[in-house]
Amino acid sequence: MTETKNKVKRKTDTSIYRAGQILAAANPDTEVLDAPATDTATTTEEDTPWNVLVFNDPVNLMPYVTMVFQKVFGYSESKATQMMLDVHQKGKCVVWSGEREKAEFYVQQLQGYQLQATMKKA
Amino acid sequence: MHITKSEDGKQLIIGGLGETELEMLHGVREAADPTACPEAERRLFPEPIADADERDFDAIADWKEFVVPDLRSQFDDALDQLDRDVAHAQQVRKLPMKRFEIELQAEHAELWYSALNQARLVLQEKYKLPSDNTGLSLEDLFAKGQWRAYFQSRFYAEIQCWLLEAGLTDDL
Repeated sequence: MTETKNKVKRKTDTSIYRAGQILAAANPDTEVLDAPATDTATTTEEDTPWNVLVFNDPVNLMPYVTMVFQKVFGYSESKATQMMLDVHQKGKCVVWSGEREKAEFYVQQLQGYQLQATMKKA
Repeated sequence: MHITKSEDGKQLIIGGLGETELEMLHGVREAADPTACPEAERRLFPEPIADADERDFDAIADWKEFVVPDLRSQFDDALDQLDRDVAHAQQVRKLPMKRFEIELQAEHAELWYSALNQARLVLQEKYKLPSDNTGLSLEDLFAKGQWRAYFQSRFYAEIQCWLLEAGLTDDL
């Protein structure tokens, strides 16, 4: 199989949205302490999980869609088959959730296999 | 028509191809061309982010600048490989019933699948083909000018089924 690599070269690094970095950029003299991991008072852009969605289409063959889920995500055949059936019967399915960079990588992979894939904030 | 695998598993042979079938394989690249069909272009290269807001605009611009050309090149590579393999079709039987055979490396199966899929996706968008056979009538297909695209798409789908069975999933 031809291996594809994620070639997203972001001009605007999303890490800039980290609250501490923005504060540091605004006032270089301010000492910034990392917020504890359990502090959820402020939800930053980077913290927002993203869903990877696959939509049903009349072209992609069902065994192929199952195979793609196995290849891209390493899912078991039963899990991949269940997701494929969800796509087919419900019109769409969240096939993965997590951080934005990985979601972009997976969307690129899925579109490389010509599935109708996109990502959306959870 | 049939697809067989060589004993060592390294080659796939598509045999028993008639002239019409070979012509349809020569027509994959043209069928897969989304030019002048924005719906097909959007289907091959969907927007990466659903319900995007202004914070996503840079990411979408980057996607169009870096990812889409990469996908386009990946898809073109698949079409190129299919074209090369089809160009080496061998005639194995002469008149009155010409038959052809195409030999391809098993490792090209995924590229073939991709090329045929591109063609089917574009045909689907261009001709708004019926999504299943329920209530399908030949009269409708002729009346709507869809019959050629429909049979072309069905033929490509048959080969895709065989490719899946013949080894596309071997490395799972």
